[in-house]
Amino acid sequence: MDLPPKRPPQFAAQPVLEIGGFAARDCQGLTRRAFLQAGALTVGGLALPKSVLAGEPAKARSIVLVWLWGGPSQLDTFDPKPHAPASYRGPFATICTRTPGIRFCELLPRLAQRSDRFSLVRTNRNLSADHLVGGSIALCGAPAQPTQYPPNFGSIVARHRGDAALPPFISMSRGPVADGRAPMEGYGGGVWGKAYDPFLVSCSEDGEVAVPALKLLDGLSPERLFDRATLVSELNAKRRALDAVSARRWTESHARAQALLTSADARGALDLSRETAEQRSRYGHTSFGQSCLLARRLVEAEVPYIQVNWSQYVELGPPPYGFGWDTHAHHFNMMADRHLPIFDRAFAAFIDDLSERGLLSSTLVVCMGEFGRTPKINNLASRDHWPDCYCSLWTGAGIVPGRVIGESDARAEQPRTEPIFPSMVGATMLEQAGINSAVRAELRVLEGVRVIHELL
Amino acid sequence: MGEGRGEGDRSTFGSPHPNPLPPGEKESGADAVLRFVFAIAVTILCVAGPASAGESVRLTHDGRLKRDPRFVHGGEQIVYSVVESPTIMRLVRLEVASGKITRLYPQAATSQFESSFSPDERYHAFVEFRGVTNVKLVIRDTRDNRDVIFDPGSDRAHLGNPCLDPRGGRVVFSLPRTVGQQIVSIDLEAQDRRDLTPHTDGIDDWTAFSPDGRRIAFGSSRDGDFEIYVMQADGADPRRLTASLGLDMRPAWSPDGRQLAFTSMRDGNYEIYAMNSDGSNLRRLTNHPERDDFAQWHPDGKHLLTISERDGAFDLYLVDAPK
Repeated sequence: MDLPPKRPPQFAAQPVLEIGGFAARDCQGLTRRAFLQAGALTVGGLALPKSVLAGEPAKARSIVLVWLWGGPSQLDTFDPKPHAPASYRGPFATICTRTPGIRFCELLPRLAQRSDRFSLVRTNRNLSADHLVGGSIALCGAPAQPTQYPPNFGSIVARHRGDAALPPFISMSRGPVADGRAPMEGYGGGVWGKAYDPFLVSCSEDGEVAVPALKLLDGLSPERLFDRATLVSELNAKRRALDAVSARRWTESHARAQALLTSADARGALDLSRETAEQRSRYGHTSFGQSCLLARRLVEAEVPYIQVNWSQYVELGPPPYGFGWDTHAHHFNMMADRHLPIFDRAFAAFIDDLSERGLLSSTLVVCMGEFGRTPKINNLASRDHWPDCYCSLWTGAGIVPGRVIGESDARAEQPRTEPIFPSMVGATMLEQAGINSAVRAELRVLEGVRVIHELL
Repeated sequence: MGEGRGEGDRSTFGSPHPNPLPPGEKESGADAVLRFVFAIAVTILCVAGPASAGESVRLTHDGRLKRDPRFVHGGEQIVYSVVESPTIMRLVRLEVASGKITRLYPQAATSQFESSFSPDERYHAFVEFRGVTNVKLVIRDTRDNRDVIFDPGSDRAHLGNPCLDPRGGRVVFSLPRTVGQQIVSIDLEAQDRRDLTPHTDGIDDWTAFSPDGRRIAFGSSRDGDFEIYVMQADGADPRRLTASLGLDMRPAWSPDGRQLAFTSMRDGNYEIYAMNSDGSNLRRLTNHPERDDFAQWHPDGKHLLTISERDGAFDLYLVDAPK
């Protein structure tokens, strides 16, 4: 069994944009602290010092992690157990796939028809059944040591690749991924600092792409955003509204923000109106569908690491929560009415689109949640958290498609074969990104962890 | 409200998909022309029926994710739930002839869905998110402006798909129990609970009273995957009507009580089927590679309402009902 690296990360933290804390408000009613944080978020990932270690040529020019936040059920998706007792198997039927002997839940017909185009791991295992802890481990490969998490896989790739026209690590969400208690610690740079946090963008079902940090620029319409001169004027005006100390700190942020926001290439990559109506329909007019389409545009723009989040929060509930995968109640209705049809359409379209454009061979796509759900149906006719055994999908960039890695037991409770830990998931992603074991050792991330060679 | 839908959120790149008009927003001259043409088309359909079998009329055009449509006002209006942002699903009312859409309960701050109306429309039962993974059943007396709440529990809790008895006085819905999920009945004061399907381990859901109130159709996994069943209103004499490999759900009675429409995955996709109320004469009504779901009969019995996904967009469609 591979364990997370024993040595705590000791890589010297890179200069982190100093933000400071302010309680005052400017004339637009904006707290200065919030504004400076916005600046930091906007430029997060820009002007990062590239790793001195070149590593190996990357098979994956880009990595896309499709993050099903909240934890999808393994039984009601890619590892159904039609012969298990009713209290385990659930109420859905199963369907054949293009992979001999492999069946999926009936609510995933498009992906069943494409099972020969991706590989499936059925023995993922996490170390925690808590969303925030398990989610951080799933995205960083290891638990917190001692109080801060190691960097997210995306942060590692961003550091290795360095600067580009667009931020090297983009996460699609209205804010840092979270549950009802707090944001997930492992969503970004961790011990490396906020400079390695992802750049956040969100995408609505209508295809409107928003940059949460820019909400603080009051009255910034899309037209004004696309007008470089107006945008620069907006940013300058905002700077003048701050006091001298704040302005000095803002200058650095301002320069970086302007570099991104006034770049035609950067704005173009984020503009879904440049897609045809047919292309936008293909992914489905849902927030998740349009986010997958946006991910494809970012792949074309050679963004190294893109995380497509199903939702910002794990929970089902009133605003701000929405409709995550954490279905302790309402599970089977939500799967049939909403989640699985939306996911099936969008993810199938994403694979097809990447393949048709010749991008799949240079793009690693991984789809998973932080854990699975209890095989035994709970007393709310739903399923709870289950980290011991769950699934992930892999395709592109050196992944041999059509394989099923690992086997779970008769109720999908435990792996029958070697468990695949988050550290192995991360090592495999980094390996395909050209960050080999030597570079990982130098960076002190995922040292000595084996790659899932069965996928390659 | 969540981001991305106007209301002060301006940090957006483009808006390539047409949006519905927010309440109170003025429409352009072109919008007015489109609305006029739409009204003419709906009027022609309702008077003369579609020009040919299988033809459908699209009643909404915003493409947003929708669910649970219900005819009210004799078919002149439709109430349904629509995903307004990534975090909220609202009940809205569509005036069929004009195409005008308004929020049913504008002050609602949480998601509301799975509606049922009494025949006189005095009572409206629906499910509402109360907290994280927690819902409640609301029985709203619209005449006296009074809510009665059925509370399934203070922590995580679930119930679903209420249906008001057309004879008045009661509402049925699905409610989990230690093993599985059953159909229960309560009165309009949320009292006098009766468990109608206490003896199965399956998951029972999607209750639908027959127009005379004497029978209840529902879906259940008691025999494997979801199938359609019918029982007496007191839970007696349950009988299985379908036997297919694949999900069968959401039964909806025709106004004369002779037929049931429902959603089925038996052909590998969400399609609408119909059968006689004894399970005979099964027919497939839709045939499209995208999703057709949430069938409801128009009160005239000649048309069916569906929520159908076309080109990735979800809208209400009116189609011919089976003879």
